[in-house]
Amino acid sequence: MENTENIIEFRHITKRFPGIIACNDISLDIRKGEIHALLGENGAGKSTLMSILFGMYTPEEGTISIRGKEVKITNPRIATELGIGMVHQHFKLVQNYTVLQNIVLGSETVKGPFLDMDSCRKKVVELSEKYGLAVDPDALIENITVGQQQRCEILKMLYREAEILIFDEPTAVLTPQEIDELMDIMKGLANEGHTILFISHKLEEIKRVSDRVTILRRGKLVKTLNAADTTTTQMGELMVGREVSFHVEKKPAEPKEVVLDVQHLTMVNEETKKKIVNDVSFNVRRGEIVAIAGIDGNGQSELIYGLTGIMPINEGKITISGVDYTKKSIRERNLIMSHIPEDRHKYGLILDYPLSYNLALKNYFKPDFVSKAGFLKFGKFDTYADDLIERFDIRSGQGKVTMARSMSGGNQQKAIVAREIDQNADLLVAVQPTRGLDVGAIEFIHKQLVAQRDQDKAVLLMSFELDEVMDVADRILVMFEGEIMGNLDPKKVTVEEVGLYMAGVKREEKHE
Amino acid sequence: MSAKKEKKRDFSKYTGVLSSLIAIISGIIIALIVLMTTHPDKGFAAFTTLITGGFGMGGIKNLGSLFYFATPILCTGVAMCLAFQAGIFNIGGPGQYSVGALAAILTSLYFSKDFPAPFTWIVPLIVATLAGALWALVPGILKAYFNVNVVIGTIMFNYIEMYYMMHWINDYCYDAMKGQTRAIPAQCKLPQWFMPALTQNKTSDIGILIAILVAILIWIVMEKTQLGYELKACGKNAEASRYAGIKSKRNIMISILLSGALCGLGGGLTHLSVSGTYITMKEALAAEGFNGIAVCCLANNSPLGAIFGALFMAFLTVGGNYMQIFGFQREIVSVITSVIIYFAAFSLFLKQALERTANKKKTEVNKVTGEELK
Repeated sequence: MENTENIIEFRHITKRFPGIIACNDISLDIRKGEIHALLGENGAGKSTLMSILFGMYTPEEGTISIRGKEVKITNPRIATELGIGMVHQHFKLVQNYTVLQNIVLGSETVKGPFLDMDSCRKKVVELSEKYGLAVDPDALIENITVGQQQRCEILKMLYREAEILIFDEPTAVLTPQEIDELMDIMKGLANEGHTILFISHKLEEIKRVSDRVTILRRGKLVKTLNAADTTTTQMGELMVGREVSFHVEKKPAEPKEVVLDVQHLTMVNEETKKKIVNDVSFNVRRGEIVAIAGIDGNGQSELIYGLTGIMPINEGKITISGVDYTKKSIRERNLIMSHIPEDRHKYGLILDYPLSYNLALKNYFKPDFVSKAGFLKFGKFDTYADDLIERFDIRSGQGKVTMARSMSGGNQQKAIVAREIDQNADLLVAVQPTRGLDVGAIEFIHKQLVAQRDQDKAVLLMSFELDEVMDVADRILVMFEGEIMGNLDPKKVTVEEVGLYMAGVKREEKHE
Repeated sequence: MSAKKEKKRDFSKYTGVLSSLIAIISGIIIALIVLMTTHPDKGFAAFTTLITGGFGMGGIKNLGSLFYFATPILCTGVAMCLAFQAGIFNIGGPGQYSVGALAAILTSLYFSKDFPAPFTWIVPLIVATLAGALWALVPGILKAYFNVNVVIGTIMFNYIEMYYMMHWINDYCYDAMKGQTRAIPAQCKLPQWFMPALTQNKTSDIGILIAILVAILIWIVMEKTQLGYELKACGKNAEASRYAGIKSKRNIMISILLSGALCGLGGGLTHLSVSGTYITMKEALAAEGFNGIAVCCLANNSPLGAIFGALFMAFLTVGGNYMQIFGFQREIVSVITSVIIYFAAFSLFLKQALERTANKKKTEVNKVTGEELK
């Protein structure tokens, strides 16, 4: 039974930003009760379109009709009143409030001047049972998993009686099991008559959960398809505008001498005295990509920070190309090791510096970039930036003078990848290098990683994306609660097996 | 089309200057209202004098006073620009300024008066600069190595300076008859060169030239050198700077010491000036220190802008000296400068608003050429 009643009608929506047309004459109908996926590369305009629907941007041209009536959504409050709710990519929750407090925040039920938490609780519990959103209402946000936080966000929308639910890349932060659960929840919501708009890069998920899918490319609507009638390959091609390969083409690795050698590395949280990284030993050789896999929060990030010198280590020894780097400064490490950091806004970029300054962040002190007297050679800054922008296809409004802050996330990431790969260091540490990127950009970055390997560099990849790890790595180290559980060969293990190591169920005998 | 686009880009480049101008104009309008409501009959005449900086009444001779008042606040203003750009909120200007002043007085009274020619004034000036830096040293160490809030550190040092200085003045350079510091020997005062001829004021000296030179120098350091690149990077994103291998502790120390040194230099220049000034024994922080923050606000953190900001503030001060003729208290000028500073504090907000408008205009242009841009 197909419901063809349109709940949302976008008509000729156009939205411009400096140097770019984010949405270009987009007309789209969303049917009541469907799960409608929006697919597109970074900067294709899908997030902008949803932000327009949620009242965070106003379009320059075009109209939106909700339930057949034309509306002007100038701020999120109006959107909420129209029954539109949004789960943002980065959750908007108060960390030291409970789940219940977060859900009711802003629309509390009151009895006189007092909060009526009991009736709030009743409503929340009802909702969570009805839609299978299991979460403890009295748990503090800071103590629950990302998946539970997301459920809390969904409950927040339902509590406000939202009928149209927007999910902005909801699976990016979840483990495979949590993704399955979310898919079930979404289907349940749709069956109850909710309309779901679902932004994603992940073709598999779209195919699995959505009824229809709309593909956007560079601000324009390419096509709307029935998810059942299409294939992931077709969707991928429509999105990128050319054929893409989902599998990384690479020759078998030819590991040579050891570049990075880590022995008994231990890092302790000063407050809790807990060992975040517990006696970790491993090595990375020239000509191989070693991946660290694991569920977020099992010490991988800290391990990388310890390696790169950003966090102090308590015990252990780090040797790179035969030299002891345990006590070396970050600057000294940077000369032999490039680092694509996990958090691109916190570490990777100086957002209020122009792109050219950011691209020179690891080089500005080298003789090419600065005279003996300490004056910067701006000519070199410019030619270097232009070169990287061209080679790595970094797109921005005004080229090298664009402030990093005003660039799209994907292009910010490309800028960092360009800078780090161009360091030509013996060891490349890439942390979540493709997070938030689209298929085309992911393919590009994976190729770059493999190319580094083939040039006899040692590559250490840390990623929460199991597919990425399986595809790109020549060797997988799985971390669980600060320890390495296994040293696996991706050609010999299945995803499910790696999952068991990640969950701490399985463990290899101590090696080396 | 490209010419038109170029023009728009220029507009967005100048939003900083524009926002400062709007702050000044809004401040002046409020000044008019204040003057008119206090003494409606003489208000307008007073206003004209104020906004002509007293040049209408005092003539060209006021140029000397203008430079005299601009010198200290230019130094402290540049000091604040440097610190703020490096992400250090140095509120210790008054202390660092006064320590510089006292160091200059003591050095000239006890040591440099017998030195050979140019060193009579150069040495006290250098000592003043070092003293200012020294006064920023402890808050700097506390910030860099113990992560103590720099605002608190520097403010507390203002008060330590205020009381400690009384003790020093009392013991070493107090002129009990006049209730102020002793006059410094004539040979220790700054040289005058062509300044008296230029300003037609026989007490004019090269203080303002040194201050302007220093402002330009600091601008070059911040915009053109590796040190400036690192200092600003730390100010904008300390974590990313650390990731890039920049030593943040070292940079905190450099920026706060330089900032303190500039304040100290300001104190030295003022108290070595030919027109002469004295420190009196009173429990008050030096206004020149705080006015530096105002200059920096007006200048949008640019050392070059600070030159104009300082000259403008001094211009108002000169005009304010004539206020008594119209039956106003001299302090009315403080009210007006405060209002302007108040608006200058909005200048960041104004700047953003202007940038938004500029961008909007730019998008209008892109509308026509949107396809090309893609």
